Amino acid sequence: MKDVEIYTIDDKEYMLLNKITKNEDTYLYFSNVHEGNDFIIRKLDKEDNEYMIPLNDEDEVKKAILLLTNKQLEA
Amino acid sequence: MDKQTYEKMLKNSTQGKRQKSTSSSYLRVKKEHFKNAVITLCCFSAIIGAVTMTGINALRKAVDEAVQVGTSIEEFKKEAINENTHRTQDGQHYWYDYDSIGEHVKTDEDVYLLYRNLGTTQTNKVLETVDSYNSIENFLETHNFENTNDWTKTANKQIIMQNEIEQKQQEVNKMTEEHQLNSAQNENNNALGGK
Repeated sequence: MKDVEIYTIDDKEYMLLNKITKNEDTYLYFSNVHEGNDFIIRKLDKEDNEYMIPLNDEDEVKKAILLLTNKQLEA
Repeated sequence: MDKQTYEKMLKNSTQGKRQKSTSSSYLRVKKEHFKNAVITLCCFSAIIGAVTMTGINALRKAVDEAVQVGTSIEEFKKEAINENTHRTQDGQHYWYDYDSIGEHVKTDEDVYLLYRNLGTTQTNKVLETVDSYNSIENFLETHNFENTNDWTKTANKQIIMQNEIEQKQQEVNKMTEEHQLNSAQNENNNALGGK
């Protein structure tokens, strides 16, 4: 078993899978606790790290996925 | 993992509102559940064209193994290090209780997990308190590793192999239990049949 942090996003419960910082951007990767095919990526707001915001566009989503994949492969 | 799931993730990730980045609670989940979620997310790399579809199985395997190793490192941290890490009196820094951490170092795998968590300098300070180990340099020499990269590759493989053995053992135990249950039921049925 594994302890995970739970975040409520848009009234749904997501578990935090990973948190990666690269070039001043910090991405958070989530998976829905109850639905296996529901994922979401957020990034910390640079102006206030206590908040997270949606990614800008698909290019940034792709960048975030590559960051996660590379990090996993380097482990 | 399919295009539809990717599209949904893309929409989720680029829409929504700004919100507090603090967790609301903690939950205990099955390792497999967590691992599969990370693997699925990483496998979106194939959909965005960063990995060829033919390379997806290799990627899946690599990520699966990386998650296994990462989980072991994290578990060691939780069990051996977190409770033995303390704040300095001024609250500005941390210090490690090397003796207490050292009590958790009993196998070669523990040495590796310690090293992956604390790095060379702090690991050596812990190893000074452990009778069976001396230092990372000494460990590498006595185990014939050329360097820490060489050690890392071998240790990762051992963790993965150990996990596979444990998984097989669990499957065997489950089959044995089922077999015993079936045998008991058959005996009952025979007894009720009377002859």
